[in-house]
Amino acid sequence: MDNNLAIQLENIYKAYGTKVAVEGLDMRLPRATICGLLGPNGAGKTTTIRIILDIIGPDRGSVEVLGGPLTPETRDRIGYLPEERGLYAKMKVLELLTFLGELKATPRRLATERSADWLERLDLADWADKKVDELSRGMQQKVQFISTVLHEPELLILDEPFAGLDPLNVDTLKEIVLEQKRRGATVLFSTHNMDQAERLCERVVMIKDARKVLDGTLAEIKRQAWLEGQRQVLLAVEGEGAFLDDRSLVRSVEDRGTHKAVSLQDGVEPQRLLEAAMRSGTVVHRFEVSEPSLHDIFVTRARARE
Amino acid sequence: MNKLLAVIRREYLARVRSKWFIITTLLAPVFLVAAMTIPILLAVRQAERSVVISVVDETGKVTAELLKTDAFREGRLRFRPAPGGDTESVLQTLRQRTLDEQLAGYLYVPADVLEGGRVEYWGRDIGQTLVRATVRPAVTSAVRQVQARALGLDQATAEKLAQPVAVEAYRVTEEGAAREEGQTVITAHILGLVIYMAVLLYGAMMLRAAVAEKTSKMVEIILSSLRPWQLMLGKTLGVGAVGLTQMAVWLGILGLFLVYAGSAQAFADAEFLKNLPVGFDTLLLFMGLFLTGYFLYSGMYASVGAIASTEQEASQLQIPVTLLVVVPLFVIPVVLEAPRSDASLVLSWIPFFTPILFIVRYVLGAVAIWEIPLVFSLQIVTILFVAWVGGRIYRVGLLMTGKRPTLPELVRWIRHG
Repeated sequence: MDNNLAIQLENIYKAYGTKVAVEGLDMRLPRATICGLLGPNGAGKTTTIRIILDIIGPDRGSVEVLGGPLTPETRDRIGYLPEERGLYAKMKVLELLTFLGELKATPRRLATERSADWLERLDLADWADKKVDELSRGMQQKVQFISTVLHEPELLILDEPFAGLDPLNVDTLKEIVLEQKRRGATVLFSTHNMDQAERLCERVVMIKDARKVLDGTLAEIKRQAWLEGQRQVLLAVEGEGAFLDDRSLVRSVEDRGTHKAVSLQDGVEPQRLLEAAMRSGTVVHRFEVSEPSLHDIFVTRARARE
Repeated sequence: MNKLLAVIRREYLARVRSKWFIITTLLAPVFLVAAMTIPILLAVRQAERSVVISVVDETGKVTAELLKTDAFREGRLRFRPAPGGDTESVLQTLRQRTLDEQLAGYLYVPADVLEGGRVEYWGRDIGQTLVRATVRPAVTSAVRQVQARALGLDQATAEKLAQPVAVEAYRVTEEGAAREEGQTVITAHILGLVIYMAVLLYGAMMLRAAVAEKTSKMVEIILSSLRPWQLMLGKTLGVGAVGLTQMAVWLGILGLFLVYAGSAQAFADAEFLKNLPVGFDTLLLFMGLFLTGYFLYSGMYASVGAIASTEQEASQLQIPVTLLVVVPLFVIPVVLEAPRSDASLVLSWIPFFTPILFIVRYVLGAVAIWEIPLVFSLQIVTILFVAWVGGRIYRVGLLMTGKRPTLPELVRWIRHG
């Protein structure tokens, strides 16, 4: 038992029938950090989250949350946003939030007060007495998000929290997530969106085919990828840069306006790209070799062992 | 504990506030009162309306006596002598006039009526009350008068002889005796039916409540805060409280109605409403059986709800459970006929039938005191068993969506839960 860890998983194994969902998973998540849980669809992210929350039990392995096994009291210190979005359609928003607060052992009156404050902050105050099914999907998602922070949890587990939201709301929720971390809460969130993970996470755990393939701080992971030879080239050239179409060199190009971020195929030296530019007679304004993006690391890892 | 209360409150308010609940709570007594009142009022109206009956009298003596009967003098029946002529053609004419609704019907009194010949009544409407309660006594009385005179008795003696003998039934109870006009059997039947309806009604409510988390996709949010058994218990108690509320409102309205009806003139003759064989003990037993019946069946309905992913699917899957409620409904007449038989005894002890059949036997006075603790123990043991099995199904079933489990899978859930 380690009280400095928010989550400690050891050698978790879970199978549904013959399909293995999680195999040999270890995970140690220090408190007051934001950690991204990454992985392709069906990798085992949601199963891992459900095991942490004891919604389903692992076949083998031990789970400790907030310094001990998951007790009903511990449960009340966790906020959870499931991937499957839904609320009781016929309930009024404020009553529903109060109810969900009570389920986390927040006294009724306090739950109502806090719910009203949060609705105010997320521009939903006018909807407090409306029924849930009168709200748009985005609004419902915000209401659901409120329910995860209402009881000021020490651990927040968010399954794809930003999926389906417009950019303004994404920014609002990100701000709240950061604020929760400053308050001392630990945040674990799963996502497909590598840019979001890269901007928000200090730590990353990546799961693929039921196994963990990456685990560490963002800086560690990038350094590791660098040591393994993964590079990204930041490039500014005149014209379209037709040489970038060469699939034997370039895996993908992301246009960032002032420059392009170029991911190279595995084992391709950045120098080869510069040579290709020279050969095509293109004028190069900027050529900078940098750490790979999380997206590139993710793709490389996801393709490995296939 | 506070969480459990929160679940109970939510389940209770969500239902009590719905339009559906308010409408059924207020309309059901209206229907019930109508169902009790309309037949009585119709009978009264029927009695008030005079019925014209033509009399073909081959003796030539009975008609005069018919005109002296109470039914005639009070105007309930209006006897008219048929026009003379050949009996066959007269009967033919009367038949046509009856079909043309000029007559309610006609009586044929044969010449040999004093020697045992049969009087015939032909009419469009030969309702039991009309023939049995009005026509038959009038004709009997008239024929007796003629007979008495033929024997040479004086008027007073003849009238005495013509008096019908009154036979009245009394039910023997612990407190003494009560005049019996079928109200015991009817009350027993009604109480059995009410429990049947309550179990179906609130069972269906529980079924929908059990699927609610799935249809609203809230399962995981709830399960990250509560244990499945807390959710199931909270729902059961919440829906049960809804049932009790509705029952209380209905009983209140019914009570007011009975008090009013007891004093109203229109019901003064309705002996049935007085002497109702329902004491405090019956109400207590009724509430007890309502509660055990509810808990027993709500546990089963909740399990069904947990297996289903949608309300439609749930309503298909609940058929076996509903059949179990319907069986005792069909058995009620058997129990009413012979409440003390071994068959009634054993059937009313089967836990799934007890809530409905035991109250029927109790009202009929066929229950021995020692049976009460026995059946309630059986009820509680069965409820605990159903809750245990249901809880396990519920726990696994809550997270299952899409694929419906097979029977072997269900058994595995229950065993390993």
